[in-house]
Amino acid sequence: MKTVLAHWKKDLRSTRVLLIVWLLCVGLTLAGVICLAKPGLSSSFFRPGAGEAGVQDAAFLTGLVGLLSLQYLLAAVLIVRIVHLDSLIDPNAWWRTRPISGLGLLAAKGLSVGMFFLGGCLCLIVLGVEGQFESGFLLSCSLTGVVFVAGLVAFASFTKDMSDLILNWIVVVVGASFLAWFVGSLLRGFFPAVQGSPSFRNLYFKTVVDIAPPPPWLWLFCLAGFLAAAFCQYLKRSTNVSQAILFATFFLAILIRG
Amino acid sequence: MEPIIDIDNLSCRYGTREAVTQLSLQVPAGSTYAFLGTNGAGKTTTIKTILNLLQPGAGTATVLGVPSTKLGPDQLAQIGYVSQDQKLPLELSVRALIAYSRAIYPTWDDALCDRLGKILALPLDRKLSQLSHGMKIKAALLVSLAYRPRLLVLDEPFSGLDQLVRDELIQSLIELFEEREWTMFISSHDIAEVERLADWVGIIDGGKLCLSESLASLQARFRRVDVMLADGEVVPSHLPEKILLPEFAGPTARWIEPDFVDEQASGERVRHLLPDDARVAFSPLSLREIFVTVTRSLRSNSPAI
Repeated sequence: MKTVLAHWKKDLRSTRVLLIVWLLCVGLTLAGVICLAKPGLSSSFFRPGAGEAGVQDAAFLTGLVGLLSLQYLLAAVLIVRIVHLDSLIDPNAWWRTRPISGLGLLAAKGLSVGMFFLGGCLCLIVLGVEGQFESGFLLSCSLTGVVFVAGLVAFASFTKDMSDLILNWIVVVVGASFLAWFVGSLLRGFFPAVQGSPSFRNLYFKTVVDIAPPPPWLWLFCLAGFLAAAFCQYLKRSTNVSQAILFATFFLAILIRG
Repeated sequence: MEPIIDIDNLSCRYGTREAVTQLSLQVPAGSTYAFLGTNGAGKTTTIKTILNLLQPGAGTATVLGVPSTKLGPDQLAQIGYVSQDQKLPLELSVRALIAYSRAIYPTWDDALCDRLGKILALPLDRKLSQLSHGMKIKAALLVSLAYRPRLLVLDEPFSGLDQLVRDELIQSLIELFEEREWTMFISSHDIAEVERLADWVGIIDGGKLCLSESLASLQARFRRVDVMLADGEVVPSHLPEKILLPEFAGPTARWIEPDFVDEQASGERVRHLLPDDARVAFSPLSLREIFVTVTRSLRSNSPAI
């Protein structure tokens, strides 16, 4: 445990500048949400009957949305950065000859990642409480967040930097989409009872344009796939297996959803 | 005594290129083993394999009694490793690196760390990314020594360092290794530097181990032989078979004797082939000269090696 905590502290120390900016964003977002909801301080965003929203309020709201987006973007960058600090694919990485196991390293990374996730959740909870959102909506947002974070960790675990991560993400998602489309077409050919048009256009509209939220079990399926890929990489450093797990996760998710 | 490192028939390849071929060697506990070879000889591949940074293609390497592929935190806590291409956590300051290392090594010795800090004269508050290559190596050395590892593995630690820093580092290592029984496995192609440290030597060339023995035995059996004949006489061509790198220039000849026993026995073996008035002189070789002799002879397929 001491080793895990030491590693966690090292990660925080290594990313302290970005971390401070992120904390500032979280603080400002929280303050903004609270201000927005307090009578007298700002407008009627959360209280439609209280009065008409002015130009100032619109600017305030835009700023708040910007801050919230920046906070999530920074959290994503920090998560990737923290995973990349101790590369799993580089035999010259410092941690490889230090007394920490793959599981210990994953635990240390999990602490940091959990912190960023909780920061995002805190903003969401305050927003939900102040804005009186439904708890189901907040839970769904949190689940999406967990899946997103697990996906980031999984992709970061077998890539060397951000550009490599983006490239891998594109290859896996596009590859899995095409394969899912192809397999879907075949299935529809063999089983005409299966509904839907076997066109890629249809798949595109189903997965990209159709913004109706997928069912929670599909998110949980993705989460399981991402976690399996991350564990596999941290425990065995089997990059090919991790990539295959991620590919299969995307393929099956798109196939089922499509 | 059980060797600290026991390598048996180890082979490693990068794609189709075999980097190390059927290498077997043992590093005795308490020794300072110099693993020598030219660039690309297979030193770094061997070291990375014994530290489980690369997977062996065939054969085994046992470190601290554990197969290299099974090395875990317990063994790594007893191994210090410094390499020129190791990636340090550059975002940390030297002080933060020390704090981090202190927390992860149960045997961390604060007094030794302070002493090393003074010897190596490191700027504690400076970030590692702002240090020169030499300073980075010093920082890596500090945090790899201060927990008193049973085994210290150094892979080309002096590469890219100026002479002054090299001397400081070597002096520090000598001082530390005089104090207790540590085992050091050091790879280098700077032979003169490691000669001051080593008591065992292994020479690798083209991925194959040429020899592995104690420095004392190596220096005892290698001699340079200088032959001087009277004017007008020529060194005969039928010299002993087991000589290395023979050079002839008129009435003089020079070669390396790899199986020198003593001046009388070895002298007799040479003198009966030469005229009576020939002068024969034996002189010892430095480790660097032995290394050059061995690798050159190997490349010329000398039967003596």
